Amino acid sequence: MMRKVFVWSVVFLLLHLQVLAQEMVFSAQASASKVGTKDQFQVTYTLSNAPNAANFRPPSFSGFSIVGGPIQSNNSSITSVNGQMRQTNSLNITYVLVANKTGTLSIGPAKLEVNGKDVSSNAVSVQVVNGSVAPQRMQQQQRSMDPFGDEDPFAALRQYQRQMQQERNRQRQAMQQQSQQQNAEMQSMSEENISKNIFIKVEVDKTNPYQGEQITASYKLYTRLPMSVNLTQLPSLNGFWSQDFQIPNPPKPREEVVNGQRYQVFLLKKSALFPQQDGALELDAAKAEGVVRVLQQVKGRHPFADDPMASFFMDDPFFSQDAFVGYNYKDVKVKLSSQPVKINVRPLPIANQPETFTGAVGKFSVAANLDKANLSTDEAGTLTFTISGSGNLKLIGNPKIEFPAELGMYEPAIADTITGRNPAITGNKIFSYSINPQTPGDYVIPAIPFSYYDAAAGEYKTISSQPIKVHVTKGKNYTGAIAADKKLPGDIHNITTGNIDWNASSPIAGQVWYWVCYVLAIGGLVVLLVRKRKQEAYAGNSALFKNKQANKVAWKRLAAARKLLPQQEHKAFYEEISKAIWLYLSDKLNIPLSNLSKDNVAAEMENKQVPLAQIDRVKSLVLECEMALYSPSGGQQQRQHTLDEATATIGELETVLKNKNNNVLQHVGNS
Amino acid sequence: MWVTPKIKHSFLTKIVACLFLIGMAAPTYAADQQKEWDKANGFYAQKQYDSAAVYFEQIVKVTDGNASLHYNLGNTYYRLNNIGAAILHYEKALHLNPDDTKAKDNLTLAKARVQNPVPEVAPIFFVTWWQNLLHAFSANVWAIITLLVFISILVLIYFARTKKEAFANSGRWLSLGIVACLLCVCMTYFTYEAATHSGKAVVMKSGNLLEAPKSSSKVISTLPEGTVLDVYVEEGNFINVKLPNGRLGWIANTDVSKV
Repeated sequence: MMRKVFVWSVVFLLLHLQVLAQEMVFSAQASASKVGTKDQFQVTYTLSNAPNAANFRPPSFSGFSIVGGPIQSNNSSITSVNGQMRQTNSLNITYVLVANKTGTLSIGPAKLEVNGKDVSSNAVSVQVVNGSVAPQRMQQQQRSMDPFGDEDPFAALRQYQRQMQQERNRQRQAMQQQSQQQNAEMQSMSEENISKNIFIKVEVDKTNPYQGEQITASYKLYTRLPMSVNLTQLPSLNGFWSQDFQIPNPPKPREEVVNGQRYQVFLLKKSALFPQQDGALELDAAKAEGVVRVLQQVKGRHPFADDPMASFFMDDPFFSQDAFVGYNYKDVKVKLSSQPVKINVRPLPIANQPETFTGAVGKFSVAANLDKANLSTDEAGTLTFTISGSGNLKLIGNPKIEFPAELGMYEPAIADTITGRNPAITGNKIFSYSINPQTPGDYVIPAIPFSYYDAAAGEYKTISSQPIKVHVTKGKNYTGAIAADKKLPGDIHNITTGNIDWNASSPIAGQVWYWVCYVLAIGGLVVLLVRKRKQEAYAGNSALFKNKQANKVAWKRLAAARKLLPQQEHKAFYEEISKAIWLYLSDKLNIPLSNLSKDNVAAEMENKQVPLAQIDRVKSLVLECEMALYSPSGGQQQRQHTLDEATATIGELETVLKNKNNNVLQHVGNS
Repeated sequence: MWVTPKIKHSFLTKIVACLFLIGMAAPTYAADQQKEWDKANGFYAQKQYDSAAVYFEQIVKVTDGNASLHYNLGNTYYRLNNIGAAILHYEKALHLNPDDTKAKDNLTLAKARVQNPVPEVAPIFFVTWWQNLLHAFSANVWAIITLLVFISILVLIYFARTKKEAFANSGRWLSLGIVACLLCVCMTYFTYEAATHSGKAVVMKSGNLLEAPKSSSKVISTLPEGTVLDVYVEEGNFINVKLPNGRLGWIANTDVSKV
């Protein structure tokens, strides 16, 4: 650990020499009157023959630093002069000082209580110069303090006693290593004031950082007491990414003056902290436990009570037990805890924040590097994107990179290395992208932009790496689906845009109307066949058909003739009439036109049992038509009469012959 | 002679009217979809692929049967590096429109990004022929052909009945026609089946190929995301599938999406 201080905390006064009380002396003496600022010198307070002295208060030593002391030594001598016993007791309290400034400095008087009265020593003034003066003064110190000379018959005994006592003191001092403490501050080093004399303090260089900005926090142990303390709890530093600084091991104390008091300071922990979120964060406490040695005022107890030589003094009638006042040390257990420190983290400004910003705060540079410029589809390459600089390296997110898709990039492997810590954390963050090219060709890995927030400049900065060219050749195993295919584009085709027909058409075969078509087709066939069969039944007897049509044809002819009636188309009119009659007869009587003659027709009509009156009527009508054709005479009345006659004759013949024809039809149907 | 055409005509007008009414009802829907479609395409153009995917998926919920929609959605998932979903939607797009060369290219690219893919074994030649035959004409073409062949058979029958002298050998033609018609019916059926059920499934997250339809059964292999499988039978929560390399096995239906 560290320096352990033993305070040899006794104001040792030899008391009550009843024989002859010598005159009391309390004086101060400096070892040199002229010193340099780099020199150490001693101031010794000598107290002689003060039996009831107590409460020694040293001066403030303003302008000086106490390097050592107080060191106490006791001398006691008994002399016999003319049969009278004389005892001289003296106490030396020595301080080792270093001057802090030049000039003539004065060391104020020390004070002491003797029999309830304050006694002051003299003041000492020292001339201080820069640097160092001659070093001899250190040697004077070991001079014998004995003022009585060697002729004393008890000199041997005294010498022995003194030697023993000094030996004991030295032993004790050696045993406790060093012993330094200011006597006047003994009171302040008691148990009650322990918290003023040993504490843990947190020092932060910034309390209002940006999110991600580095702050440096030091946990320090301040002590003015000898102690043996171990850290029990390190701060957890939630909300921060922290990087610890190296702390010397074993710890080396430094001296620091706080409120005029000189402290030994041990650095417990020093960390660079990077806030991970904005808002109020707290540096939680560091805790330590251990033992501290404090001073304690002791009364009525001899400091050497447990000393083997004590009996020697105990039996001494000059020693008075209850008159003794002094200090002793005591080990006290302490628990130390630092005060939590509030850190108010500011969020990073949103204005002007680049798209490529991924949380980096500090000062960085970037570089991209590909391990091979030529790759085959069988090989794998590695693209490393390195961010180096100082800042919150660990908190930087992945850069946003647009890689050509056919290079087959995967998520990067990330490695952080911290190379330097003082004063800011510096190092590298390396993103390693593995590349498995799938398609041969020449590609360019575009420049990779990287943005960070420069807290010192108070603005965002964007830097980017150089673009890298990659040449991918066909590998041996390049046979996959892509190779089998024809020319494939490097990237997928773009999406279809524009208007789209949203009416999804289901297949025709799944729709009703398609099947209705079949039914209709079959139905149509059936209907057609039925009609055809009917037609065939008619067509099976064409004579019957003609017979049925005869009336219709005749009426058509007569209608044509009626049209001709008002005109002077005499011949045409009679032609129509005679055609109507002849064709009707031909169809009705089933006589071919070639065989048609008046006799023929008459015979056939008789055969068909047409009444004779009608036969005559037909004959006269035919005759009339023939006559009119060859000898055009008569007017419109004549033609009208002929037309009426023809109409009536055909109508009568139709009614007569219809019955006969029906018989014939039945006859045909039966055959 | 007069009656039948009249009936046909009236039926046709009714059918046309029906189709027209359906056509009238659809556009109100279609306008919304077109809006969302344009929005999604806009997001895609701005490289906001996740937003684009959300909108495309919304349209898919309403209209599933649009090849362009699935093609775009496939692209979006490809960009999002969601290869399983990309392959699924490219397959859907190709199923709806087998002649889409862009979708074919993109599907190949997407398949190239499958990690540790199952090697594809080319099917035996007659399977390829059969596939080509199925793809030669769409189901609709086959349906029309079938209808025409059927009608021509009916015409043949009609003439055979009415003009016996001229169609004395119509028996041969008729049997030939009937055979052709049966073939066409079969083709219509197969193409129709192929058009309505792709019979394919895509592994959406890497899943295990099992020996039997039990979760406790032995694992044959692990299928990577994006593997396209032929679906045979479903049994409970498991599907009997064929791998691209011809291997058969069972897979949990939660691991796959049907095309």
